[in-house]
Amino acid sequence: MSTTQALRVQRWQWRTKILKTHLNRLSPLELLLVRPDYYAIRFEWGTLSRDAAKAYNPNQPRVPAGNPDGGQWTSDGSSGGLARVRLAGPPPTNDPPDLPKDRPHTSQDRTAAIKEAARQLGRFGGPIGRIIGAAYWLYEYEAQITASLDPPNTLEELQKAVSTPKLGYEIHHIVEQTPARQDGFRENLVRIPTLKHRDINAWYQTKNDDFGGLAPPDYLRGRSWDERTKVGLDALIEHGVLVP
Amino acid sequence: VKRVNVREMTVDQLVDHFTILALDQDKALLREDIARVNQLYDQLKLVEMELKSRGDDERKALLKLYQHPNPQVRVKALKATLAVAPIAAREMLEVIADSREYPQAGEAGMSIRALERGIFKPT
Repeated sequence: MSTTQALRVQRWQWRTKILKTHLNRLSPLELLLVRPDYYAIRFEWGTLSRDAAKAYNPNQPRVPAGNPDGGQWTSDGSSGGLARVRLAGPPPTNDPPDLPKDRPHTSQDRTAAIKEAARQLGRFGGPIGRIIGAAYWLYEYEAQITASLDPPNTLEELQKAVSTPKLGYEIHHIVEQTPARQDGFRENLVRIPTLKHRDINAWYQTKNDDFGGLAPPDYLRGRSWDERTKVGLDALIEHGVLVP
Repeated sequence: VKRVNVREMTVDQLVDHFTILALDQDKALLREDIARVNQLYDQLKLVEMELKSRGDDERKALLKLYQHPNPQVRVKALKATLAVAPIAAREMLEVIADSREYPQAGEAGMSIRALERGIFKPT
């Protein structure tokens, strides 16, 4: 195993250690009280956000400014137990939106609905029919939606799959197409789930604090092939496509 | 589009405005409207810089957004507060990176890598 691979594995082990030591040792109740965000992600996203929205009271007192928790919601004394847990900031607005029953007219609206269906499937689990409901037009995109939940594969598996087209998957360039072609790099292609391909492409095109406010290609322009490859592989790993 | 002047906002209003911009960015990401995502990035930076210029760096007011239900709001608040709460923000980035809630999990994971490699130096 190379030093880079060893460091990568070490970092993932460190992540696991953090979760186990700081979060997973807590009971669900403790976790809900200490880190409602993590509790919501792991256990009860929908229930928590729906209950919080129902329980939201715009007149509920906040901790006065100047305190460490200044501005946070505080108990109004009207109820006890879990009902007193409040989400900070503005009222919760993240109830899963209903998926449009009719096929949207624009490509962007269709994309949003397909991605929202994939997000909900990832959050709440299957079967897919429960997520899609009456939005029957989404069955046309069932392969894309379900493929987005694929577990990560090895680089060899992703490269090998390139020669076998499959519904719900697209060919992805690890390093952007133009520089790869210029450098004659042949092992630059992988087959990955369509929605992951689109998420990674979107990440590449958006401005990012990580690169001094530049979009990744602007930051990477003129940099070495190794550096561009590293960012390309890291993006696959962090988007859950490639095993670390 | 209604124009807002961040200089005239209170800290609480800036936090609320930051939240609204991040929620809009989440919608734009779902629609793959990249021009809008980048436009909102610039607006989020304006809010962040305004908070930084207030008092003893009021970016810490964004800490309350660590518990917001929307992952895009959380990831933007985390990255905006890495300079004022480096340990808490870093730990929460790890949580989002492990959440498998994409694309925010991807952005959080890439930020951790940029931090580790010294490319991203929050100030």
